Amino acid sequence: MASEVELADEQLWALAYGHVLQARRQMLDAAVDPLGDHCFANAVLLDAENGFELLGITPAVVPVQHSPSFSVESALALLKEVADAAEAHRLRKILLPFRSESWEA
Amino acid sequence: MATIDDLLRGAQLVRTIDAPPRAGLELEHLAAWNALARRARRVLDAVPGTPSAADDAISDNLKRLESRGGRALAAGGVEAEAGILGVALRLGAVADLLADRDLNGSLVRPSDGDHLRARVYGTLYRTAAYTVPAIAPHRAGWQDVLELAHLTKGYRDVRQEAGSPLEDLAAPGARHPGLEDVAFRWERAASRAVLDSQTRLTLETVAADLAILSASCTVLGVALRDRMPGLEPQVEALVAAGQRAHGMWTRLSRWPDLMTYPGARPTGLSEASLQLRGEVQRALRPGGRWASPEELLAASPPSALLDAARRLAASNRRVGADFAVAFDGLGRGTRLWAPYRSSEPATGYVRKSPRWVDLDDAARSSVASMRADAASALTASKDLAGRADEITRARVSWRSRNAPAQGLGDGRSPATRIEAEEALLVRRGPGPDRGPRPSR
Repeated sequence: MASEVELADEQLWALAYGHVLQARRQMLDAAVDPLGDHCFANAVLLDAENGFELLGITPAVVPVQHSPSFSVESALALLKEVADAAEAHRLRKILLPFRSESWEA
Repeated sequence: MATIDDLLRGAQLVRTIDAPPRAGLELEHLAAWNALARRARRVLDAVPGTPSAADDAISDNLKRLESRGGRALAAGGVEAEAGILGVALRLGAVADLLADRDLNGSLVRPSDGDHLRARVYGTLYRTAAYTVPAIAPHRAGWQDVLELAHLTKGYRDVRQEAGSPLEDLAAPGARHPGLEDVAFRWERAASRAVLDSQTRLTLETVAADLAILSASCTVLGVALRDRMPGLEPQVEALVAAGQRAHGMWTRLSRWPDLMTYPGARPTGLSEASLQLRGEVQRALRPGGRWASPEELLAASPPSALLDAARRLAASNRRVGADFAVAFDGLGRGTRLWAPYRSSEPATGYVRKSPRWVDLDDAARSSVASMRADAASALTASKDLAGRADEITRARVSWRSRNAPAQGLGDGRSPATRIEAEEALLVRRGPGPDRGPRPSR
């Protein structure tokens, strides 16, 4: 996976960024959340977006209709996969929090 | 984290009325009054509001005490009395906290300043009563201390408990930051970010954090249900206000696809946001879910939960106000937003940067809608903070009316003790008709 990350690079990050944006949109549009249970997932996804912005990555378009199975969980799973694969990559530090179990979705 | 309320509570000297007077310590006491009088005047100068003639009389008296204390110190070899120095130290910290905040720009009611001033006067009364037995009658300084006791006597019954948002001002602790401490630090980072480093992510992050603070106030309010007798409607209003604020800020934490303002957020904001969320999770959301009322009440009494809600709501309101100011400036003049997914401007022409473009009609409509949302969110935050303040004031008032007199640990009721102190002062000092009296 590490080599794939290095090869795919920009496109993969753009796709991951697009997924994160879509996940957050979907979550906030759909959720009825009077007590704020989604607050923290929202903030974690913003952390991820910030990491991509730091690298100057433009998000890929990920239309909802093309991602019927898309969810916050799938976006975070993708982020974790990318973060694990990016061990030797320049993104390692930025994505480090997503390898940890300490954050909360 | 020490608040002004904490500092004033810790500044109450209690003289044991049965102890024999320890005359002959006037130099030590007056030397300490040099520091206390100077710092008390700093506090009183920093309290918002216009001083009355009675306030001016107290200030003049403090000036004389400061001067007398200076002369005592100049005598050399005098060790200032430790108890009074402790009071002076705390009042100095109160003065620093008041001076550190831009009180002119915050929402302070005249009654808030009055309440804080009354607490300081009550503190001065107790300290003067502590000093009186230590100074031999008619020695230098004796008359000034007695006069201060008489000037502040009308405030002796003021309860030393928070009654206004001013008394929530707090210094961050260095060793064990708590939720309110972290919120205080986040407040600075967030305000600086929204005013100086506006990007979509900056504004979305701050809005998301404001939503978390609003939800935290809601959770604290839910825990206070049935725990504030006589104030149930106010607590319900707090819960509802928290939910409204949470909804409004959440809405602002996700911009429409049409709009962006590229760039990462400042590092300071990222760190403060992470720290805030971590502390909220530790204090209110252990195990990945909001703590139940029973769990919160097992860890803290209702008064502490109310204090926390009020402080978090105050931080929410202050940052919300800066957010609204920042938002109002966006989309105007040369501060323009680019549409998403476009390396070239969709319409109009480039200004300053390829990312800053003229807005088309749809974009202008989105900007106007978001600006209106920001104003509504600020209104919700103000309502939330106002509800928390209202409960605090009502609670203080309710307790004053209903709480039975409580002993101070020595079997005496406060009234008896105060009367005893008063009797001593009257016996040793000028009559009640001498010297100016407080107007309140």
